[in-house]
Amino acid sequence: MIEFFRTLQFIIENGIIVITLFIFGSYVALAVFSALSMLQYIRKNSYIDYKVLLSSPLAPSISVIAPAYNEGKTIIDNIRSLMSLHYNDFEVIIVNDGSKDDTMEKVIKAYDLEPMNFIYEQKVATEPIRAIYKSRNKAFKKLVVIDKENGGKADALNAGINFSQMEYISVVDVDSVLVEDALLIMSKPFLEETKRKIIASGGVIRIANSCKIEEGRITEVKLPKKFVPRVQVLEYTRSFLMGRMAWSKLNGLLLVSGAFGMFNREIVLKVGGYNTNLVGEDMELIVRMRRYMSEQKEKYRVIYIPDPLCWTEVPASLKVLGRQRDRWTRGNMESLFMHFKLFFNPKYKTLGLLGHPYWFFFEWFAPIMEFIGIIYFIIIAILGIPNWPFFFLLLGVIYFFAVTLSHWAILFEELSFHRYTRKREVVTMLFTAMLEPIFYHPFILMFSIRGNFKYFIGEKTWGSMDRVGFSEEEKEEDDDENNEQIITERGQVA
Amino acid sequence: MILSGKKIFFAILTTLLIQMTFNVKMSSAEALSVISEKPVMQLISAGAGNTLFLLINESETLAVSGHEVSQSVWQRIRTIYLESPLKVKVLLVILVYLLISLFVLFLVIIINRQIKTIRRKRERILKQEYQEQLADFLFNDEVETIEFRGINTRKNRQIFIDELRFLHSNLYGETASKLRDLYFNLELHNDSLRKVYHKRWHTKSKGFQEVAQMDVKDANDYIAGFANSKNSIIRVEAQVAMVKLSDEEPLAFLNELTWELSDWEMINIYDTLIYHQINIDSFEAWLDSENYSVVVFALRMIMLFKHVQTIPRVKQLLFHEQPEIRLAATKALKPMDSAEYIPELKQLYRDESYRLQEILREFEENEKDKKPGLIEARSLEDILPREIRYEIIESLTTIASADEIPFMAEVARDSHNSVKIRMLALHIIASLGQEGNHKLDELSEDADTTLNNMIINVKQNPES
Repeated sequence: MIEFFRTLQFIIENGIIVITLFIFGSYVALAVFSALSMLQYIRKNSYIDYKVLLSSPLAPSISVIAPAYNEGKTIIDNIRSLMSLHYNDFEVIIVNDGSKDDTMEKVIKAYDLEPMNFIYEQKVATEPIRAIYKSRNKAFKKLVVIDKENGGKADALNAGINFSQMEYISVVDVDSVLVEDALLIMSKPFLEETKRKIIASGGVIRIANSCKIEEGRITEVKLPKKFVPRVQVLEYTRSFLMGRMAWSKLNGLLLVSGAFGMFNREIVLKVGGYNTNLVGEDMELIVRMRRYMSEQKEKYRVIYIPDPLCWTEVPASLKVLGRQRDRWTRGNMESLFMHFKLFFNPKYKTLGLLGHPYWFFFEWFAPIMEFIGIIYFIIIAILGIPNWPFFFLLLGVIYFFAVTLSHWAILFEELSFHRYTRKREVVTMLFTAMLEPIFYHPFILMFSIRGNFKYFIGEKTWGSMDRVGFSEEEKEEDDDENNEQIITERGQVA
Repeated sequence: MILSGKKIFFAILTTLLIQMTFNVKMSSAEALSVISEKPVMQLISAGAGNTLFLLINESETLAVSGHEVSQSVWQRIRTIYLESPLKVKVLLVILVYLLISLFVLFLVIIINRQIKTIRRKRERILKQEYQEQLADFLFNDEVETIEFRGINTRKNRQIFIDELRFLHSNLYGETASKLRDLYFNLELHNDSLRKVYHKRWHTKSKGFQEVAQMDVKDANDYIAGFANSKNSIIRVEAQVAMVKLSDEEPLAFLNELTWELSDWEMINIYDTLIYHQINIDSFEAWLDSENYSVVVFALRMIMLFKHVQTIPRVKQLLFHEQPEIRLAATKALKPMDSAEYIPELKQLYRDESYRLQEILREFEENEKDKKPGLIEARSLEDILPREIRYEIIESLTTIASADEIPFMAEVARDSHNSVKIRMLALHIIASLGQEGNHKLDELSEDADTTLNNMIINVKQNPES
């Protein structure tokens, strides 16, 4: 028996080294690609005057669609913030997804709304629309409010897409804070490309916990005081600045954050809008759009903008974070398995040969492998045959690699956008990076495994009955967490 | 007894700890097993002469001399490393590399932060100083000469140029000229020209921007060569610079352009024309360009500058083979508000409807042969014909007369049309007075539910 385990141990240990080195190599390659890509982006856009778009009659039109559910406390400020975005030809479509609080009453009163008699095409099926409102006040002529039966975030977005007549749609979480030039910066890549169609662009998501927000604007950026949101700053920095930037360069980006993204409306309609039966509708839409374009043999790109355009609050407690992360895991799995046809399929080029397999192995399978590794180690430890020096050596290498990667991400941030300006903040970040693998990562692994388990038993907490609101359960948590707001955004961690 | 998850976890943890504690010598043996690449079964004893004997298996015994045991730490590390199997060597190298890079990164981040803070503070002070001095120079008549501190260094001069340019972009007339004179007197144009001739694309682009804004014409010929560069960023800056700096033919580069003109380039060129009030007599010459994006650009400019004299040529382009050109031509006619091209627009509508039918028929055929697994058989080809048809109806909004009522009724009645276009046609009918209203009543008599709802809606909201 022991002999068998020794042989198994030999195979597994060598296998682990090969896989570890491969993973390290992939992360290093992504980091290098990101660095080059970021350098080019910063150089390219350092002297661009986005104001030419502000007054140009040639600038494309944009519908900003923001679904709202039980947002009564903040909806007035949120709408004001969206309405004050710097752009010429845009409209703000707020979709009230059957809120049970006073969201609708407050909006009607604050913006002097009246129901309008509109006829438009239901290109994507949605829950019934109760009414469409516009303001009597001409100052709010860009505002449209759709009041509909509850159907979840994806359904609300589809209602907004149906109503929109603009060239591009920008999807925004109503409780996210956008910088004033967000639409100008986000729309530019759509205008620059001539050889390939830009089907979507996504922006970096920054963490607003502890930041000072006044009238829907970030007025002071601060590093979160609590450990859980602070460590997410690191995660997001790593993911966005080191991961997605590279994937954008490789044209293998599979996800545009649900908190803020821009899409070519026609392509979204061609593929039938958001899938309302999923918990990871944002990723699935991008995968479907990409797949559609590949099948049509059309040249296309999904672009990623590294500028900090969107600020949002993240879970401050492990309990809420756990719910969010297991939902993300399920969302990943839905998209990956639903479009499994892409897996190493040369017909889909980068998407099939690189994007899908990478997400399959690194985002879905890696935590499972990690979990299996832990179980295996426990078994051999109980059997009394662990190779302790090798174990500690490997553990040390993995730990220091994780910390080094985080420190690289901090350096990226320092050299590029440099949003955390206090000296103490950078030191705190560096030390947080050292604590993350020990005090944070094990929980993330646990949440991921839980997500896998839930997926396989078919649990959908974003399902039709539970989908009474895309943030309701978290909102309940918010009260426990000092009104901590939840993001419905998905930020996969590189 | 049912054990909770926590209890199982602690039981496993305790077992591990016991294993580790009781096998503490075994761990040493294991360490040596890694070195020797042979499984060590047992640590026997410390033999005579400081030698450790390890039983490898029944027939083999490994001896590790006490001399090795008493080596210095570094020597021991070296010995362990040299005698380690490849996998351990690799991990050790990576570990050492990671530790060093972590230390270096830590230092770099801290030092960078320190330097950045000092530099930013210095720049902020300098910027403020330059802003005040420039304001004094421009608006305080008592000030005759100003000495700008620190502009002997290239970095400070760049800060000064940026401040000067910022002010210049917000000023007009004499004040702007005064700033330009200062720019030349301080020989800052040499800095800009140095950037123009720099080999790095981003420095070059910035140089193009500076010379264009400050009207430095010394490098016109050189910049003109980049208006057709394969680097799209340099290209757009060079094009904008040429529009601004060329005295005779600001858009001459369009004649030679082999690259497709992007929307971003068009927006920038248009903005330069407007901002600097550059007048282009006619865009007609570019309507014959072989580069179809140039034709689209010319049509867009005709639309924006309302060049009525080009209507006959634009009318011809309504029937161009490229759908993008047909769309741009339709849009170009919209602001002209002339009834003379209504027949052509109606003809184009019918042509596009025919094309759309063909595409839809093809869709249906593809649907039959649709390979399993494909998301959609529908192509993107129907987008432009639909858009052109909508633009045609929109162009007719202000110029349609009662003669167009039957045509509009045909559009409204066609159930294959989108709600958007049918509603627009109904609104046009409603806007045509008594005859229009009569037609709406007539239409509602044999209308299906959708059309009937649309007619009711139009009657209720005739102006929306």
